[in-house]
Amino acid sequence: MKRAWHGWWPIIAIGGILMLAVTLNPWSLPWAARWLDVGSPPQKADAVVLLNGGLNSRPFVAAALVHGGWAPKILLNTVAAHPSEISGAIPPFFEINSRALEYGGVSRDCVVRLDSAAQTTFDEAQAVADYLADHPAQRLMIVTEGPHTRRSRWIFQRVLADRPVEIMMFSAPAEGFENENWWRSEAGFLFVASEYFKLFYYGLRYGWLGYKIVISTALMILLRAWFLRRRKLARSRSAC
Amino acid sequence: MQGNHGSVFGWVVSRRTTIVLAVLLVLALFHAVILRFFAWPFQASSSSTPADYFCMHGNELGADGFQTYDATAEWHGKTAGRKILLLLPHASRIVEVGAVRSFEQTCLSELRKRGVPSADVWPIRADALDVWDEARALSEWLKEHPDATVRIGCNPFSSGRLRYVLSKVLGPVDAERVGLATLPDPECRVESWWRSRSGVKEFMYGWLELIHAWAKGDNAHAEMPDAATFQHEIRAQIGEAPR
Repeated sequence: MKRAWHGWWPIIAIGGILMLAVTLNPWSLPWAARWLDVGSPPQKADAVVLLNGGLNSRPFVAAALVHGGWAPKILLNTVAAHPSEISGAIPPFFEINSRALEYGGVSRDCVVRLDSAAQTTFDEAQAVADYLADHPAQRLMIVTEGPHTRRSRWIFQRVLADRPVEIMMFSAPAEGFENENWWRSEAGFLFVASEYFKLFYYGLRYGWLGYKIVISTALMILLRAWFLRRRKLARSRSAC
Repeated sequence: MQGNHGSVFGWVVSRRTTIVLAVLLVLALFHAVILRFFAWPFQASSSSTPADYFCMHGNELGADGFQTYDATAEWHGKTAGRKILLLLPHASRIVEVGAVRSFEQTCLSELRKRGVPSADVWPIRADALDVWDEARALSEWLKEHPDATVRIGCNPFSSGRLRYVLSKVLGPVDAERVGLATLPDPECRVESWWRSRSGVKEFMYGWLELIHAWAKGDNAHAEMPDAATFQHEIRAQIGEAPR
């Protein structure tokens, strides 16, 4: 038994080192961010959904989409109050976004306020689904940073699964990094690495990932038991 | 093979299974101790050495740490003559377009509300895009004030990275003159980070910041075009929709 494991360790170690070398290579690292980015070129939509966060980028991009005539209005959620907001040090996020949109030439009449006090992207998607119940739309364009688009699309497609609405993602430039060099800046590293953790968590919490892990583990245990049984039988035969 | 088997609760199981069960039992019983251990970089308590200056840093959305304005004002009120330093960040686009006040304006206003006169608040024009820029600006200031001791208010989950960056930029002598005052949010404490969603997020970001600082060293940030340039570039990129 021990000898068998000793035989496997070098292969596992070399495989692990090779995998790390490939994964952490500057040639392959951009793929980690590119895979997360599922944004597409702008298309005509019934509304732009401006997700909260990325205040120095997202509202400017959403404003440019409305200004360019790609959509007539912007759906914007309120968010749970930040401690600085509660103390009155900063205005509510809805207000900050609205002012940035105004700078981009979007009047307040074009901004639809969704009073969801959202804490997560899931909450924002749910509020949009509630809005669509009374205001049906065929196409929505979601604005967020590139590495956030894959998880956001997954959430919106899941929450809006029973509605005939097409979800399109538009990637806003991230603050301080690009998909090609994300690991060089702290902001990029935090954004991309945390997105993978969040995708894993969302897969476990809301998706099928948890079941898949349980089923694969059970299969591995069964395979191992079958393999051990076969070896035991072979030994007893050879002993006979 | 005989010696490879043991007995647990009367069942005959292999030694490996016994070890796995024992490990699972230890994990179940001592999970809090183990999870707390993984937060070791963030557990250093606030510096106890006295300081002449309290330093606030952050961005346009507020100062780093929980209820930092209250803590800073309280520290200021304890002894006469104490001063407050503000490490000013780079002016962001939302400040430029007037969507929020600048970090300096927010801090001055919040501290004034709490009884701190503006004359006791000294801004350091760091034009910082990250904590490395802040550390460099503080280093310059410390050189100009060789007898000064400083305490920096921060979120405990950022303290590991902040301490590391300060030690790298300031060097061992000046780093001794700078202590940290960790200002924890009661809803996501380092001692029980796994119990709340925000605690888990802070723990994850704290570790990622630290790993990046260890692995990469000084941060490389991309150009940050101002609001007008950014808007112009974005409009050109997006273009007009077909009629």
